[in-house]
Amino acid sequence: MSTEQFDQYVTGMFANETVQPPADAEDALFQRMNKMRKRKRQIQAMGAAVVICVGVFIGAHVAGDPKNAAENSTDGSRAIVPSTAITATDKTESVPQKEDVSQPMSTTAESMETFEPSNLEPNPTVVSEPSSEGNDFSIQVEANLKEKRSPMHQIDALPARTAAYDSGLRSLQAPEEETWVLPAVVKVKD
Amino acid sequence: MNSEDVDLIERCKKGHAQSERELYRRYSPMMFGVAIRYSNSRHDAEDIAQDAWVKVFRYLKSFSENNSFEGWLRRIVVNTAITHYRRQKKHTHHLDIDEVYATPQDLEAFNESEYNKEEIEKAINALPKGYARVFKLYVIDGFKHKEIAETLGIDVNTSKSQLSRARKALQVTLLNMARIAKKKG
Repeated sequence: MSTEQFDQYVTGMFANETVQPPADAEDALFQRMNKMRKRKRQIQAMGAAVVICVGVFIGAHVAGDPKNAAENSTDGSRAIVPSTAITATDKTESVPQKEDVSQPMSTTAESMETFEPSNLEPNPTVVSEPSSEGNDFSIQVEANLKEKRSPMHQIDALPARTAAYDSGLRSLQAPEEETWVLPAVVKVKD
Repeated sequence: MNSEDVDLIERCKKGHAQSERELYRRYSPMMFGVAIRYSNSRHDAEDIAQDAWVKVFRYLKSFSENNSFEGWLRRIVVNTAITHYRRQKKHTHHLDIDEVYATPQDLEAFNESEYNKEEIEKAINALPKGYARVFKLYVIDGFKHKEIAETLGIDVNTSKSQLSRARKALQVTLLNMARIAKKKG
């Protein structure tokens, strides 16, 4: 007998072999399946709850952060912002305002020729800055303004030659329509 | 696969409980038969069959109707049985049974008409576990050597050599059984 014949003999013997399982096997299987499915549903529900809790926690944490609160307030999506956050934001915004004011003041003081009295109107935002905050910025600004209110004093302090030269030069360059009032210093040479 | 089976499987995929029971009743005798073939006892076979059914319902959504459903079920039971035995660490693949190699005279003398199914089953189960498993997978359940190698985690050539040895050992065992029966008779 060849191996192929032997294989066919055995295969034919066991082909479509069926054995009836025990009667309680079906119920045991489906009870186990139900338990597994129930447990799976519970795990899924717990997972969803954990995700929601983490989301709420992160949301609350982000809302408590002043920087984020300030950023979010611009788009109007966040209605409630803590008062501490607002105060902090105002303070941070006031710092560059001081810098913006002081920078043109200093340049104006240096170039006294283009000075006009109308520019001497004090900036209400700067003047009304409360001095109680512990900085002397407003005092410094007021001092600068006082200096600007007495231009003659400033010009007197300049070297005489330079002032005369500059004033003459500028009077030549000035357009005809405009009337220039220039200080004049005359020096007599021997 | 007939259209009735396709509909039944589709309903099971949708989670219809009654259809799942119907599918179980239709295929559980075949599944249990395979489980018994690869187990040491009926109790083990019940465990293997139940584990296999759990896998069937879990992975039923991945089954494609283009394939043989019975073949798919058979494969799941066999894999479950092998996993079961690996867990129990009972199987031994490489027992040397060269001493029971059949001689050409034995093979010529082998006459299938002398043996019934129970005797052949007894002879298969008397083989070393590794040989018996390869023989059952190849001859009875129609696995290819590549599939056997993947299932058992062995080399393809090992599968081939074990099958060859299993065949010869089985024929020798059957001849010895016949001789003993003749002496008794």
